[in-house]
Amino acid sequence: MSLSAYLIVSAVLFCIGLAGVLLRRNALVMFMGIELMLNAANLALVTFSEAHAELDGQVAAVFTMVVAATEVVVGLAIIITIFRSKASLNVDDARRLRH
Amino acid sequence: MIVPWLTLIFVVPLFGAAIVLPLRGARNRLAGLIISGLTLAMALTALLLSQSHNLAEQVLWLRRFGAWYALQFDGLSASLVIATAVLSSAVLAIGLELDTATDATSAPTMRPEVFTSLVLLTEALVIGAFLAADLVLFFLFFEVSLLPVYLLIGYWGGACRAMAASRFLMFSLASGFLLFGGIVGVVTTVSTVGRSSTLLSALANVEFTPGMERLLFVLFFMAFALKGPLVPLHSWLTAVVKEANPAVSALLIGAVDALGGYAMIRFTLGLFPNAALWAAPGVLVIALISIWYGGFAAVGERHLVSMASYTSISHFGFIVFGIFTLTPTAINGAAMYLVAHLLSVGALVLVCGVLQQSSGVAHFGDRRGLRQRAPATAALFLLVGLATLPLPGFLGFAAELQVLVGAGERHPIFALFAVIGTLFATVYVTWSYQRLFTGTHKLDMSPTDAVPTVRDATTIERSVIAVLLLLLLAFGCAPQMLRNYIASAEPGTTAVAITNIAEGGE
Amino acid sequence: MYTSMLLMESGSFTLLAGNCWVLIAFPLLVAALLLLVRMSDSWLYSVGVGGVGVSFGYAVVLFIMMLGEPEPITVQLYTWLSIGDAEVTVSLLIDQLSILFALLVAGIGTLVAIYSVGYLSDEPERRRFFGLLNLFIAAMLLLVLADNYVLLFVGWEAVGLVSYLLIGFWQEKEVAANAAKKAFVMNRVADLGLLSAIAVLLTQIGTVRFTAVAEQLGAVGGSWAGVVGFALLLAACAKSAQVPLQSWLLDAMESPTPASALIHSATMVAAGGYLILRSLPIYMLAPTARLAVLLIGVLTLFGGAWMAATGRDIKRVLACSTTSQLGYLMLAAGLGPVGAVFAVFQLLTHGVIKAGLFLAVGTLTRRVGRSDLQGLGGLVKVLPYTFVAFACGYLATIGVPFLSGFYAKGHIIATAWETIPAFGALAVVGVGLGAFYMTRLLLLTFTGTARWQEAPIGAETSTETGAENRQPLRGSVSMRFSLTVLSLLALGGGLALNGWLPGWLQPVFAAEVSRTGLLYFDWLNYVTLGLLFVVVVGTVIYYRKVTPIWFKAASTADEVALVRIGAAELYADDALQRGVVAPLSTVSARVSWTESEVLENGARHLWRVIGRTSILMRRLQSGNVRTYVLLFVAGTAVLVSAMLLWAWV
Repeated sequence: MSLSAYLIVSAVLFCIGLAGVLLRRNALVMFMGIELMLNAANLALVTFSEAHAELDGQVAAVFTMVVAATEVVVGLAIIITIFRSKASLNVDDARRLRH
Repeated sequence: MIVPWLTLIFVVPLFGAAIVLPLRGARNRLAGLIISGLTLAMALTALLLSQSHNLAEQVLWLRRFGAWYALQFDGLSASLVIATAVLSSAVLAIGLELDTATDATSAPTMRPEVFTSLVLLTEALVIGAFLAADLVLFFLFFEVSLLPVYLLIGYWGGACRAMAASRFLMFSLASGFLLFGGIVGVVTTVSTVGRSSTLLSALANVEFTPGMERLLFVLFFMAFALKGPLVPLHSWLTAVVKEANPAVSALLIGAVDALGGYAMIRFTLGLFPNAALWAAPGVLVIALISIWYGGFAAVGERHLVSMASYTSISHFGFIVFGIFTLTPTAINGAAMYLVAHLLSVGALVLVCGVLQQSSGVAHFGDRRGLRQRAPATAALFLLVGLATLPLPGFLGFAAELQVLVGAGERHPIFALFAVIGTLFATVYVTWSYQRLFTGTHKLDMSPTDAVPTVRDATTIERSVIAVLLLLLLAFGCAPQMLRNYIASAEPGTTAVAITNIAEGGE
Repeated sequence: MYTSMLLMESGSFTLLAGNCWVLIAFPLLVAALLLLVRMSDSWLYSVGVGGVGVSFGYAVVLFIMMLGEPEPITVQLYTWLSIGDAEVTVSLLIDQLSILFALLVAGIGTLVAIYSVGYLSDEPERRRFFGLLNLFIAAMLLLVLADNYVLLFVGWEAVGLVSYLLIGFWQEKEVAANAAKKAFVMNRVADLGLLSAIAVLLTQIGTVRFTAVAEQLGAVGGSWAGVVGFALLLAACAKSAQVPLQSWLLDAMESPTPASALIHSATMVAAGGYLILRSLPIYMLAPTARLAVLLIGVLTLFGGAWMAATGRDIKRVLACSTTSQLGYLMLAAGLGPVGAVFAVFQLLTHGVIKAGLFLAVGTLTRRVGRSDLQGLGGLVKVLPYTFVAFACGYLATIGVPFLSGFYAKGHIIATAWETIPAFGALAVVGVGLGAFYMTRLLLLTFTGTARWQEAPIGAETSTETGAENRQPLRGSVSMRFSLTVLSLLALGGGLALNGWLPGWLQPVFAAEVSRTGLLYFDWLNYVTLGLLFVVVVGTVIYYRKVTPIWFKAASTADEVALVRIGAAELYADDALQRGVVAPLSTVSARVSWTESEVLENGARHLWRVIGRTSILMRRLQSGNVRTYVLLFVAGTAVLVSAMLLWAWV
């Protein structure tokens, strides 16, 4: 199959993820959006790796997955802690760190 | 075993600054003086040794940028190093007594022991800057020397010293930022050329493209013009001298500002001679404005130490004028004037400080007829003032004559204007003397002032200023030695290269 | 011509001349000693007078040896500075001209020092005075013995400095301090001329030695010679108090009278003339500059006479007279080599005469306690000795036959007439004016009613004598001694110099001088003498009959304009004040205002602006996560589009 199909899927996934992050207020949903964006990037990387017949892209994808996993762990821990003190997952409520 | 003399010259006060910290009171002062004296002795020894050996040191430092740890001791550096050591000793001898910090201020204060330490630190860093033969090393010393001066201004002085210190820092950091930009430009250009190195000797041979060279020149020039300072970038100096301890002002105006003049010769001329040629007319005009503006401002100024700072601004304008006439005679004269300025304006600020401390006079018109109570101070004030005129017989005159002749070869009209601008000194020196010392002794300040009695200068104060005067007089009567010594400086970093270009380009 | 060679027959001369720096160093050392070390009175006087006396003795010995026709000698001490290609050395020149000046300076210096022993016996700061006196002699000797312009300049500035210190000697007096400052500033500003001349010489011919300049300046071109000539004239005008730069000299009368006698009448003010004389080769190459010298000379001749004829204070009248006589000097110098010889004649005789007059006046003013003419009078009976001394000087200066002034002025008039008759005529008129004001001075001071006994007021308007705690002083032996010597010299000096001076100065100026007879009278002399006689007699008759208007302290509106202008010293001070000082003060005030208001407030404003911007920027930290995310995305979008555009372009 042609390259462009995969790239279009990747772009669409990325935009959906971006929209999710920008438009939703629930912290967990924003997180899901971020994961979507990461996976969209992964898809693009693997596509190009396949297109150039090199492994660099797949290696980068593995890197990304590792980073994503780490980030999820830390991020979820933070969200849970905030939830415990505020009893709300609304991101707009966590505004203490301001000028 | 090879003794790294040059490194030692600045390492001694550097460690000395740490050593004197735990000492208290008179011991602290004495230790400071001893270390400063030791530094001076080492500098003089290096002077003697450099006649027969080559004392330059070179060690590779940062391979990535081609930066070396390189020190040199040629005529230009050596004379300024020795003069700085002398001035620092003078400042240490009488510095703390000149503190006029009044109580009831919100500004923080510090233990007096730290003063000695900070002065020694400044001395070490400024000397290091004079000795540096590598661009990056010079920048390091240049920037770090801001810190102790900032602390010195901020902790010892008048009521608004915090503001003055902040302004000093702001301007100096701006200067450093510009210089950093220039250095980045130099390093990137050099690394594209081939074997990269920021050694001055190597850089002198680098050919820059005209546009790049001019840009770099402007960056370097503005950085040093802020340091000097040149009008109109001088408002930090006026704020600082009004608030800081006069000894700190003396050190600042004498040594730290001399860095500006020194760097102009070494770097802006040494590295970018073609751009210097291109920029010369504009720079000469700026320098002339500085000379005249400083003179006018000094005449109208009512604060004693401020008047001395305007003298410094005027002198620096004259030095820059001499440098950018781009003749060997004038540049040599400018370098000699730099040394003379260091000693004479340093002495002037110290005398004003002594006067301020011993009789409570901060502004003209506070008191009159002081000669009746303080004849020694009066005599010293007059003599130091005459040295800054400059009166023939003092070093400043020899330097001024050289600059005048050098400038007269290429820019006679400008030279005439420059000399007329120096005539203001006569007016404000004699007028200051008259306002302060002649007439009958009267107290015009309000009766609640803190210094009711007037005392004459102490023996130490007299000796210190007399030493500075004698140096100026000695070199004024026999300037040939100094002139030859300065003229022997590395050809790549002084005027010979420029003259060749200038003559070739005419 | 000027070489330093060892002649077998004058071996001792070479030895002495080779060490001539002692002439300068000895008084300098004495000055340092006096100014820095305390000592008792007996030592003070011996050391103070001895310092100058030794120099004088040395100069006399050198002079006597030079009479035996040895060659002039240049003594090179060391290289002072190499400027470009030129080398400036500290070297002294002993030639016919400089030895004469050295004699004048050291001789009058010694006499003044002896006089001061008596004059300042009640002055608490006399140690400083003697120190300054010695310092002056050292500086002045440096000036006249220098072999190049730079060293001359050092001496020039040094004498200006000592003059400043002496004018402001009584530092508690505000008037004196002001006068000192004015003198120093005016001189130093005009010294710009000398400095510029030096710079031009160094750049154009690469040497500043007098002899070398004479030889090489012709090669460069006339216009540079003119520039140098005018520049030197500027400096000389200030130093010799020529119009329009004369006001400092008149205020300089605040200094102690012995200092005035030495500095402001005989020696320092002659330095200007000396400079012009030494630079004669330059002026011969530049006719315009020479004409300027002539014009300034004539202008001053008349200006000084005008002021002297309307002066109200005895010392100021003498100062105006000095100015006028120096105008004669300039006139003579501008006439060429022959005139130069007679300029030296005039300089020497005038120095001696004026010093004597000043010392006489000093005795007088201290005895009476005031110096304003309104408050003097009838002193013949009180101070007969002083009157005789004064009269000797008076007769000599107006030009009575066979006395000094007669020969000096007569020669100048004759030379002027031969060169440009108009100037000769003007010079003759000048003699008449001189006779008038000197006779007026003599009459008002010594004859008439003893006004000083009637009206004790007016002492504040006097120069110098108004210093506090000064009791009337009777003449003492030392004062009389100096007065006597100077009076005798004033009388006989002309006779001694007349036959001999032109020949002596022949090697210096290369002038062909013809008339040298003592009894030589030509028609010009007769005309001058006739004028003299008429003026003197007329003045005597006038002042017998008329009392000056201003004695009654009436308002100045009653006076004739001529008198008013003269009495106001030609309004030179006002002109300077309005034309130079006021505009500069205004500019200076503007600059200070700019400094304090514009730059200070500008810097503070900048500080505040930075602070406010920082506060504004803080608003970006809203704490809202979604805002941050939006900013991330927007920023990234901008970056990416920029990169894409860059790659595309």
